[in-house]
Amino acid sequence: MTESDLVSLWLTLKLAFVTTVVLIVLGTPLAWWLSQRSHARERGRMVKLLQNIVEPLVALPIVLPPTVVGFYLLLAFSPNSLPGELWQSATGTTLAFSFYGLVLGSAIYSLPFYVQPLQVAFSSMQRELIEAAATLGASPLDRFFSLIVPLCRRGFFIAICLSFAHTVGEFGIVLMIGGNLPDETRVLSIALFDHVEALDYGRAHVLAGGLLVFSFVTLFLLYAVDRRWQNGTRTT
Amino acid sequence: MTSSNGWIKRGVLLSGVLLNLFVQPSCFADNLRIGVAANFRSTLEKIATGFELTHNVKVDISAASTGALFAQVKNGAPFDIVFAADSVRPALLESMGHTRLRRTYAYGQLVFWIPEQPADERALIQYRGTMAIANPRHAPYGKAAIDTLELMRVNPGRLVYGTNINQAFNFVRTGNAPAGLVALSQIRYLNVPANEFWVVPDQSHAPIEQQLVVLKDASVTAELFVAYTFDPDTTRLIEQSGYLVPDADTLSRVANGADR
Repeated sequence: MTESDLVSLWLTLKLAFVTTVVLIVLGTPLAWWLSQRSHARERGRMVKLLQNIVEPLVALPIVLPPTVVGFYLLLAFSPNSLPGELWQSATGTTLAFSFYGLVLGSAIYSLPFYVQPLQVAFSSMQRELIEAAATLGASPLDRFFSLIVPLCRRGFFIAICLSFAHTVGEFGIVLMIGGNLPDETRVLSIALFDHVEALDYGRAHVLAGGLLVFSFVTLFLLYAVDRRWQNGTRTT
Repeated sequence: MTSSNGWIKRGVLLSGVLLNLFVQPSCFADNLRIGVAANFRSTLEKIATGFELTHNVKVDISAASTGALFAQVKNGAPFDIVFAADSVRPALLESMGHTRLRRTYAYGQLVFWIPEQPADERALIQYRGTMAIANPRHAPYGKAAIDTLELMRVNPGRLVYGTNINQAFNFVRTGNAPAGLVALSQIRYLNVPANEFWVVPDQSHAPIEQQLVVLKDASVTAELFVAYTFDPDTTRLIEQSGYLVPDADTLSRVANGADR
């Protein structure tokens, strides 16, 4: 691996890490809110309607080509549009061609991969345990961290692994809004594309093979840990 | 579960019907398949329309970067002709024995474009903001842009790379980059006002020589299309689209079959 490829590797890991942290912070409450629909009959019709709209919105990046998201982001990031103008007046820079622009794009693109496994985990949790804890006087935060997180650890694990791996594998959006800046937006998939375009198949092989092995190992571990935890829950 | 089985059967049946629709042979006996570099696509579409009218042949055009086209041809993509954006990769394809004809069809012209501001040589030299160019590592317009910046001692604050010249153009068009070094053909295509762009002199960069190749197993119609491309009416169209064309001497030698 050459030095510029190592810079891309580091940048890719940084992007995946930051995106995953953003998703943990924003996606967890969202998944929780979406999981509450089947349980609460007393909920207002407006809330249910809102949930019915938000749920497919979250799933959109699974079916949309990344170019659709990339195209709209490119237009939104432009200083000629309102969001781009606000960002520029606040920070003095543009979101396009910047690391934070990529974080935003990746968070949108990996959102379903974080929210959906977690939503399933929250919905299939035994609610009696939480209600019992509430009657025993545990605060909502206490209930969340000492009951819900351990009960749903499998969901959290899958959600975190998938959103990290999916961000590593992102290409289309970065290609459209990145501008190919070393140490800023040239992630591994872009560097690989560059090598192929420049007919440097030797360096392309290193990156392509590396990404293939990484993805396989990630999924292999994911399934292995998952099997173990499933067996664990059955015996207890 | 019987009802879901029924659905599956119906789905299989339906997909069989659809598949049949897709594999129906086309009514044109002899389609011409052309791969074209992104920057020449709109011009080639005009040429192809004229050719289809006069020759009763359907032309299928697929646009991609020259690098992608090269990789596709190398791996057996069924193109008859490839219009590349440079001369390096056509020469490479020739040396690998994939072609039976190689010829320069146009020279690209590089343009400094700065929307809503007067553009001239001084504006370029003094420019310090974000500038969009094509990736100099593999895009010919990007190499020309870097040559120009070095020769004219321009120091933009930040260079952002488009995968190809079209993406560099889009970065400027959407306002994400305030200026860029793009292709005259794009400027013409979008009717950019004359005071917003400045054509960079040819001598400030190596020529952006765009070559075509006719592939080894191409249909005989391919040579007809090449002849049509070098027809005076067509070369005028290419010029109007923002390219320089090989000079008349070269063209007459081509017409007489004197070169290669």
